[in-house]
Amino acid sequence: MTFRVLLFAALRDSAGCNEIVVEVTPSSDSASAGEILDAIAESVPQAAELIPSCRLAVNHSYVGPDTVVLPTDDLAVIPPTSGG
Amino acid sequence: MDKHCGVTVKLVNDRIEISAYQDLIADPDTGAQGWFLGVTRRTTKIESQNKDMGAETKVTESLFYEAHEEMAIKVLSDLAEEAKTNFSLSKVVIIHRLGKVPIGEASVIIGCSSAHRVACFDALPWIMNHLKADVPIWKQETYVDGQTEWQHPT
Repeated sequence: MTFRVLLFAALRDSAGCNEIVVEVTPSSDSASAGEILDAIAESVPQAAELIPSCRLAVNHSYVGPDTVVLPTDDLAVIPPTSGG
Repeated sequence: MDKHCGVTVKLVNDRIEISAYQDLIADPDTGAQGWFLGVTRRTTKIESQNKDMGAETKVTESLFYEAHEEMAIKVLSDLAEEAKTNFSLSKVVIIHRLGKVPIGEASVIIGCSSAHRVACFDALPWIMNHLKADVPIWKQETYVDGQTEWQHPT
């Protein structure tokens, strides 16, 4: 099952692209937010140190690691923010 | 721009002038208006891990801000609405600048109005703290030596 995820700031620079498609093999027809973050850390090893401090946003809202995610969801990895 | 029920939030690419937004917090039934401006700072002191070395000062040439714009507008709107309810504010305005911001210019302004001054005094730091923690906006420092660094406080 594949998921398209938007990347920003240092994470985007590490990956060299604005979005990434990750493959997750879940036990059912969905995956968890934690599995998505793990898959990104594996796909972009140069950003693996930053991933544990990132949050996943699903349809523009932050979710916890156990939240179920569908391939049709709008996904983004949000590194620690620094606005203002 | 997201604007409804006395709440205005906006991401802009140009210099922010408070005068352009003053009318948005005006309300004849309020007795207080408060503004906070976050401006880009030239120097940052970094404590050395070696206590004998003292602090190092990094000099910034400019800052660059980027956002997950659609989500940032949603989170800013929710934040402004929550502040309006929690502090009994009449109006709330949050404007954040994106792109390159020269030193000394506003990167963010927050304005609010309330019946009495204490609500404005209390609301501004609450809004700013939540903005920094949760709104998907990031700044990248460009130092005078040409080095660049994304800020991801952990």
